[in-house]
Amino acid sequence: MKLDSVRHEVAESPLELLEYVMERGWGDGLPVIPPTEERVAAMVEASGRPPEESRGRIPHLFGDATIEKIAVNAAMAGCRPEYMPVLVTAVDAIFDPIYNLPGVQGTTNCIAQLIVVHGPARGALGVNCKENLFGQGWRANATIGRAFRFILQNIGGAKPGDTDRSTFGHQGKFSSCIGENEEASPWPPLHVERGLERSDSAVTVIAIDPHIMVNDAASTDGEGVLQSIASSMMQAGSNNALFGGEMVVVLGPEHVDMLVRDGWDPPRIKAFLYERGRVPTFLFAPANLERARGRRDDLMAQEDLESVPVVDGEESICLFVAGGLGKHSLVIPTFGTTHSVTRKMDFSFTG
Amino acid sequence: MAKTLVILDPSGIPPPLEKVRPAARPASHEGVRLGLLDNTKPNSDKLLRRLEERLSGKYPIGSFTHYRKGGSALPLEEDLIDRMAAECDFVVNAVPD
Repeated sequence: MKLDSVRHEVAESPLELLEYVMERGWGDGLPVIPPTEERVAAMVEASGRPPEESRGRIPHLFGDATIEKIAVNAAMAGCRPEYMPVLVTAVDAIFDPIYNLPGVQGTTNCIAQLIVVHGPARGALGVNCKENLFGQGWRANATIGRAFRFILQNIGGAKPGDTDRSTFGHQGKFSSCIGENEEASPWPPLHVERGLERSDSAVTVIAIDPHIMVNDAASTDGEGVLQSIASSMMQAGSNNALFGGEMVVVLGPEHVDMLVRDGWDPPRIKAFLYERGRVPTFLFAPANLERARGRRDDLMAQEDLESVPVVDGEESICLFVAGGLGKHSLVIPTFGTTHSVTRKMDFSFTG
Repeated sequence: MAKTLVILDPSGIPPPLEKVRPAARPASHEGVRLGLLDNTKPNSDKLLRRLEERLSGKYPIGSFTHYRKGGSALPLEEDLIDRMAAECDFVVNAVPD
């Protein structure tokens, strides 16, 4: 296999390698796995694609996201070769114009790129969908998300503190990759809702702000749980309140059990959250409300506006089930000027 | 020397740089058509209005035309670029916060 990347001779010592990588702005501060020719070749092989194939050019620098470059970053992040189809599909997804990649890469906001894995790939790759799925402890989650950040940083050129201008950043920028807990609800998983087959493996990519955890262990019915979620969506200072767009709601399995028992399904849940999750206008700073009105056609038309919807419409609530036991759900605001993208993985997994 | 190994560079290769010739500069301010592009960031409209006041008192500008992007976080629309190119000799883009 012919690999074209520039070669660097480095010390074998892990500490010296880390220094070398950090000096060149390739790392995230944590130790990396050396992307040797052998490791990169194994990554390329597992993608099923030729190394020189370009999947697109990533802003800011419009570096060429070839299979080889994706593979180098995957190796450095500690991925197993079989994770490559997830990364290639996620790279493809962010080029959809509705994702607004130039804005996401260039913003001062706290945006991480969340990868959600759907279908049989979750089991085959060991992607955690349950307890602590956004946290540490699973190699697939940790290294796929990390590799994706490296791809945006090293191929796209979004260097923290330099060309990545995020005011605060957030922990999710180290790594954000989870699986949907499809087995914890009777509802169609997100990729099926979006037109794919349950047997397909797929990836959804979402430009997220930090999470808001919803703790409701007191409600004994579905409506109570949904009210707690709706009130957690009402953040007058959020991108979603200002710009609309899409917001993510991750339902925990115990909340799902209650909602299913009480006859709720995703369309009714979204309709409820859209109506109840609006931010009353009196909570806005006046100038910020004017900004929201200036940016959102749906608000401009309303003279006697009493509340502001935090998404473009019911369909812009990205709803799925994930996580483990516990009476919790999550609200995840987004960049606002963005919509998530789901893509089928051109790869079959068993397991 | 300590043991070494060879690693591959993770950086993306940017496209080759294209040479772009700057637009021709008009010889005088007399009658020039000036575009003022608001990128939708707060107060950019005020800055541009003030600029129009200041420039119109000082130079014989032919016309001022105001434009507005769809959103500060969005790329500038292609049709807006074409309109400005057709309608203006200069464009000032305000990017405040």
